[in-house]
Order: sequence, then C-alpha cells, then structure tokens
Amino acid sequence: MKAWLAVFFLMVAVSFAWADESPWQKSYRLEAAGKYAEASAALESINGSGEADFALMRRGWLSYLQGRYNESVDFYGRAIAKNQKSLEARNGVTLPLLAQQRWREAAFYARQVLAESAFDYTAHQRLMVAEEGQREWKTLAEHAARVADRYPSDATVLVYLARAHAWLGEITAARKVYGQVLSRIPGHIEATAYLAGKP
Amino acid sequence: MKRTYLIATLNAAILTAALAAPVWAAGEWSTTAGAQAVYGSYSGSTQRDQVTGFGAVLSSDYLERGGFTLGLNRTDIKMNTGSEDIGQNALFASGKLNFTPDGVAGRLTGRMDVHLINNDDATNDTDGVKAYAPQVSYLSFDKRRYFDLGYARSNYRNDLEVNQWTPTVGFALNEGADWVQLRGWVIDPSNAARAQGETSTYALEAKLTHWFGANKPLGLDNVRLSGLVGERIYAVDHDAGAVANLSDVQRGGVSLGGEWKLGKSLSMLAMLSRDNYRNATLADDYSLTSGYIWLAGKW
Repeated sequence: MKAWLAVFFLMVAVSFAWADESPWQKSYRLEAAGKYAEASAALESINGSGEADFALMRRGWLSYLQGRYNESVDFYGRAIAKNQKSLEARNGVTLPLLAQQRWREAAFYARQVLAESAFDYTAHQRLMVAEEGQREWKTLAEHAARVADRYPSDATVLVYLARAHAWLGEITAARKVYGQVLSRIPGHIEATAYLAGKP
Repeated sequence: MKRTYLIATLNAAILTAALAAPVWAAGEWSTTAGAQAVYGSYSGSTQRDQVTGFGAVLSSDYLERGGFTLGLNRTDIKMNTGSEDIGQNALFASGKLNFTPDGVAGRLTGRMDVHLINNDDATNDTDGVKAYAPQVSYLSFDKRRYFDLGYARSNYRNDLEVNQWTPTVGFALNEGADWVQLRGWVIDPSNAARAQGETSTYALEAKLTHWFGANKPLGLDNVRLSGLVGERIYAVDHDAGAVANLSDVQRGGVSLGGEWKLGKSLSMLAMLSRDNYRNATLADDYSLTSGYIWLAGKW
C-alpha cells in the first residue's frame, strides 16, 4: 500500500512539474525522448513572441531530425525572415539543403555566413560538403587548405583536402594529407584504407 | 544524330526571377552560354547535297530550383540540281522546375519545351512548325538511376500533327565512371500521306558516356558513343532541343564524341555522326555524315 501511495504521489508530482513546464522545457524534454514532432509542436505557441526566430530555428532542426527536409527549409527560411542578421539560421538551413543534395543553395547560405564571419567553422564545413557534392575538386582543395591553416588540429578539414587531392590525381599530396589525418585520429578508417592502397 | 538538323543556336536570354527566393544576390544563378556549328555531307541522296548550321544557346539555373534555356538555330540545306535549297530558323525555349519531395530519394524535374520553326520550304510542309514537349524526370540522389517520360506534340501545316512519347531510363556503371541511357521513340503522325506512309515509327536509342577521372587521354574529360536502331520521323529531341522537321525517315545511326574541359569554366564537345535515311516517296536510301562542335562557358 505504501508503495502504491509513493507511486501515486510521484506521478502527481511529475504531472504538476510538467504542468509548470515552459514550452522550451517541454520541447527539450520531448526531443531528448526522441519525440521530435511533439517537441516541435510544443513551440507552436511561441510564434508571436520576441523569440520567434529561435523557435523557428529549433523547429527547423527538429524537422530535419525527422527527415522532413522541405519543412525544415521552410522553418529556417522563416527564421531568417524574422531575423535577417541570423548566421545560425543560415548555417542551419544548410543541413536540410545538403540532405536534399541542393548543393548550390546550401553553398549560397554558407557563403552568406562567411561574408559576415570569414572563418566560421560550421559554414566552411558545410561549404566543403557542397563543393564535394558538386565535384569541384580544385575549389575544394584550395578551400580546405585555407581552412586547415586556420584549424590545424582539425581532421575533418584535412579529410576533405585529401579527398580533393585524390580526385585530382595528386596521389603524393593525398597520401601526405591522409597521413596528417592519422596523426590526429589514429585508425581513421578512410585515411588508413587510402594509405593501404584501398581508397 | 539528334543534331542532324539542330545545327546551331543563337540565344537571347530573358531570365527573370520568377522563382521565389528569400534573398536576391549574385551567385544564385548559374549560367552557361555556348556556340555550336555543324557540317554534314549527304551520300547517295538524289535530292540532298550538304547541310550546315551555326548558333548558340544560353541556359541559366536558379540554384537547384529550376532554370531556363533559350536558343535560335540557323540551318541551311543545300540541295542537288532540280531541288530548292532550304534555309531555316528555329527558336527553342525551355523552362524547368526541380522538386525534392521528402520520401523520394532523388530529384524530380518538370520541364516544358517550346519550338517555333520557320523556313523557306516552297511546299510549306515543313514551315511554320510548332512543337510543345513536356517532360517529367527523376534522378536518384546517388546519381545512379534516372528515368524520364517525355511527350511532344508537333503541329505542321497542310494537315499534319505528330504525337511522340519517349520513355527513358539511365543508370551508372563502374562506380559512376560510365553512364548508360536507353530511350524509346514512339512517334505517331496523324496523316500518313504527309509522313512518307508512316502511321507509327519505333526506335531505340542507346548512349554510353565514359568519364576518365584524373587520367585523361588526350586531355579528354569524357567520351560518348550512341546508336539508334529502328525508324523515326519528325522526332523532337529533348536532349538536343531540336525538331527533325526537315528529315526523311531516319533508319539508324551512330555517333562518337569527346568532351574537353578547358580550364575551370570552358568546355568543348566534338562529335562525328553517321545516320541513315530513306525518302519513301522517292524510294531513296542515303546517309548523312556530319561533324558537330560545341564550345561553352559557364559562370
């Protein structure tokens, strides 16, 4: 009987706690539980508030997690319309665009970020993905080299640089850069395979 | 072969921002402008001697959302003694919209082509041609599978309309180094008396493109081989943006081409073709050997 009472009071306490939840708390809790649609719906009431652009960005992210890429693009687009200075929303919209292989459109938004913040890491990374998708190997090689100078410990940038060298037929350069990747992530699968002659 | 009567294009482009965009800025449009020329010599024809042409195409895409292509072709066919030469101008306009619906692992494209053709054919049989050619296509995200369904309705003077269906499949081989495209041609002229006795023609076209990757023989980026079996008449070619309104019945053909990338934004395509034709009215079988060159810049 005591156990049942304890469970009852616990449930009441939790329900009271949830009843007091802000839309943000509810959204984060549902996201953590993997309930992305519900997490997004929890933010519907915030549309008219001063944080509407943040809510729209979160909904864009939550739509992206559900694979609802067009809806995600729409949310991020509305976030940009609400706050035209937002670099985060521009970086955000690149995610669903890249998922849809809309390389040029993703690159367009990444470049908008870089015009404001020249070495924004996220924007550079998304732009490199877009350049790889368009098979612009020379552009990617030059770009990745510039970013690698600024982020010398970063293995991801070096992987893009190595891939570009490999596609350009610059085998020696590709091997050298893949070697640098292994200095940062020993056992990196792609670098190990390439250096073993199995790219 | 598809370029037998395409010959050349000159485009003046009026590209408007009809597609919705959150922000307008340079870099959203990707534009290609190109010039092309062709020369062909007929062999065994009682009427035809040679064909020449030149022109240019201008094409522009707005990000990955859609695009436009505009062109104007000039074609001249020199006839043998006893037949009148023909000079022709052809305007080509095309618009497309791309869609990436969630749940479809690829891109859908809806496209509409319009052809307006005028020439000095004394019979008027091939003059004043209008063709409308919609197409729906699908390309998978991994670019290994392609499908399209094309339709064309061509209106000719002197009691002739032509309906055409072109189902097409394409697929990649060898880790994307090769691309194979197969296209069926089903063409139904409304008036057999105006189509050399044909009420329906059927043809199958196969194209193979091979990309060389980093090691480029002769600097070639890719080579293309294509062949056509069967018969077709009054074909409307979505790939070439051309109408074969001046052709007799085509009965097969082959072509071989190569493309060079000249720097970051220039490219050149050269093709040699040999196509077989029959003028059923004259019981005249002949062939056309032609060379085609296309120079394009992209920015």
